[in-house]
Amino acid sequence: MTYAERVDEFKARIDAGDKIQAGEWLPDEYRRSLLAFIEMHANSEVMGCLPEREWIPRAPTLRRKLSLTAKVQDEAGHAQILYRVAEDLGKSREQMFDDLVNGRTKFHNVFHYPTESWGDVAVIGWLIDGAALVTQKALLESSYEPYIRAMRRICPEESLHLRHGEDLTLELVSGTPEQREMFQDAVNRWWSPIMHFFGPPSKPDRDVLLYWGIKTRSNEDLRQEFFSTYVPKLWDLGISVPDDELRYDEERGEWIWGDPGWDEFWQVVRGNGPMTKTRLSWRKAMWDHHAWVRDIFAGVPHAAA
Amino acid sequence: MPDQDPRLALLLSVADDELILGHRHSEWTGWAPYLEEDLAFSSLGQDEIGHARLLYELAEPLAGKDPDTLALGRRPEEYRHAILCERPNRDWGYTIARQYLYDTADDVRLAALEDSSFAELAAAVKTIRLEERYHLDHARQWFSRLAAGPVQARQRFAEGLEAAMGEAMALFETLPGEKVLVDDGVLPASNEELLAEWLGRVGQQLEEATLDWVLTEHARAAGEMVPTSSGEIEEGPSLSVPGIERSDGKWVHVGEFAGAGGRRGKHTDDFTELWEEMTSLYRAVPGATW
Amino acid sequence: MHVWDVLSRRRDGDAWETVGSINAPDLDLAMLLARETHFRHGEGTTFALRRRGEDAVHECEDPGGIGGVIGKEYRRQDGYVGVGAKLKRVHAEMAARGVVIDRPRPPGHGPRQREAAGA
Repeated sequence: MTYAERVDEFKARIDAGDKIQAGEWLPDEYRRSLLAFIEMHANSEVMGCLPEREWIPRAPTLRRKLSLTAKVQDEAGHAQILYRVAEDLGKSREQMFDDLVNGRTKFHNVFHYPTESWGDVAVIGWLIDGAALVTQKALLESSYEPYIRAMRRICPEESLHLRHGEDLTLELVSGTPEQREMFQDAVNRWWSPIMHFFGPPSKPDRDVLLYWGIKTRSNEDLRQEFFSTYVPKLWDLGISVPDDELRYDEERGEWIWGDPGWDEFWQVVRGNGPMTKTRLSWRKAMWDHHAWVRDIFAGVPHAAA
Repeated sequence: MPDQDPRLALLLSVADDELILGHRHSEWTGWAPYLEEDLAFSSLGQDEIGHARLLYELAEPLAGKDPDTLALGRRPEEYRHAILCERPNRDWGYTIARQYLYDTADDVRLAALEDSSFAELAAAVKTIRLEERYHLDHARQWFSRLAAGPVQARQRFAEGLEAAMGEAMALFETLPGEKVLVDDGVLPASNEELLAEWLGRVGQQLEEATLDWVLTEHARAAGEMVPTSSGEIEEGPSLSVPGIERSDGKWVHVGEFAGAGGRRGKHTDDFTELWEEMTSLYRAVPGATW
Repeated sequence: MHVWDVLSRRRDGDAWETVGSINAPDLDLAMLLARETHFRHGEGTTFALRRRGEDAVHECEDPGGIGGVIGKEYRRQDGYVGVGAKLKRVHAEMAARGVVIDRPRPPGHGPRQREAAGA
């Protein structure tokens, strides 16, 4: 069989809903796209730890201290799961980390922004994890079985984070005026990064990831689902969204939303977000400083007994 | 704070150790040197905070304050943890050295408290030890990998041990009102006795790893803090001469403690900074629920 | 560094099922790390490891306390059992305060105030 014939056969399987197992032959483009996608996902979990871990020392009750620590622990755990899947596709975790901290690979836009208050912790836990869950549930239909298995671990943990986030939110919106304002202010600041998170309305027929079934739903589809899931809930709490146009149009059967502007999005994904360089430099410092710990496991000669 | 009840002093000293060290451990979550270890170490931190919460629940009737108020609502001088616990994490070598020294000490302390005449405490300690087993395993595994590891690993670990050793001994500083606790069987063994046991264990483990020079170095460095030529020694444990000696083939404690005072609420600038951060949000919106 | 497949089973006698994998240099450390990497939410009561490329299955010898013992409910759904009731209470409060935002929504996502008023 020629390469082209093998690729056609592979594509036909995917189109028929077949799942690709670990260790199977993969077309080069499929492998490259899949690896880059999973690597970016893993990078995002690793960088996602940083905004929230700043609040662990400041958590205002023992219960929240524990649940926030566990949440950040889970993000690191998701990175572990995803890097393992990526490693099995042929790139070492060491190399992936090195590329990340040296700015050669990307991570999701939302993790390039600073946190300012406990309101941000609630928004991240509820709305951003909510956005992530929408995209991650769609990945349960991905064409690559090991990635599906990873999502089956990640999605229930993400659901738990959502409940934690929702719990935090409910306390804030029903608390003191200062607490309520804290939450509304956070929503105002995070709204357009969340819109950017779903990506610009893409052209589905030119999306390589959709072609190979790695992603199964378009950016706009996912954003619409996010609106339907979270905007009514926000409105029920009396919390507004900083988009005057946002409303559901029953005739068109979809949400109408205002263009948040995409210049900032492109700046951020190119590595010029407000916290990009700072956070990467922290990670790099930790990575470089602790090379000696990695050496313990890398077969560097040990002391003779 | 009604400190007069020695049982409260005991509960707070153990609970505060766990809270403050748990706080430090949890600061590694999300950026520890190795992903799988990040997860393991975060669980250690969560365990310690969970133990603190359990012990604060026991302290509540004695202190008249609920666990969150005890954890976050006291003034810095009201906390009773050992100074060792408030020190920043520095690097992985210090962090592991401290975890090893602390959890070994905790094991000695908890083993004794399991026989306490204070029944609720004995019961809580029994449960706590079920989690602490994992902490000891963690310490053992990292101890052996660092001690027998590549040159730099061993060096970093040794530096960590040196830095932590003196203040680790002060985990066993005599408690205020300790005599009553010992007489009543609340503390089945005095802190001095527990310290002797811990020093024996740690001394032996360090000797087996040929790291016992850490103990002699500590003693030598501490020896530089000698009394003035007039023979006067300043009042206050913080200026006392801490000492470890080898006697009859065993490591024993002589003299006072370095980093002492924690059990009496005397802490360092490191704790002022930690406390400011830890309690900032709690204090910013008084009476709020979160 | 080696890759270790992490195995779990629901009951004694069931076959081992792969639930994930970890990177660890040897079996001893792999046992320590696998616990918190794959079982900290109480996903199982014991586990086993198999090094990639080998057949031997190494069962955890001391699985006591997996998933945590004291107050770990916040890592599981049972830690959030009260949130549903809190949600209802807060919705009712918001409706009573008249702060609910009444903008066009998809069918079936109507303002809670109608629910609360009708309840």
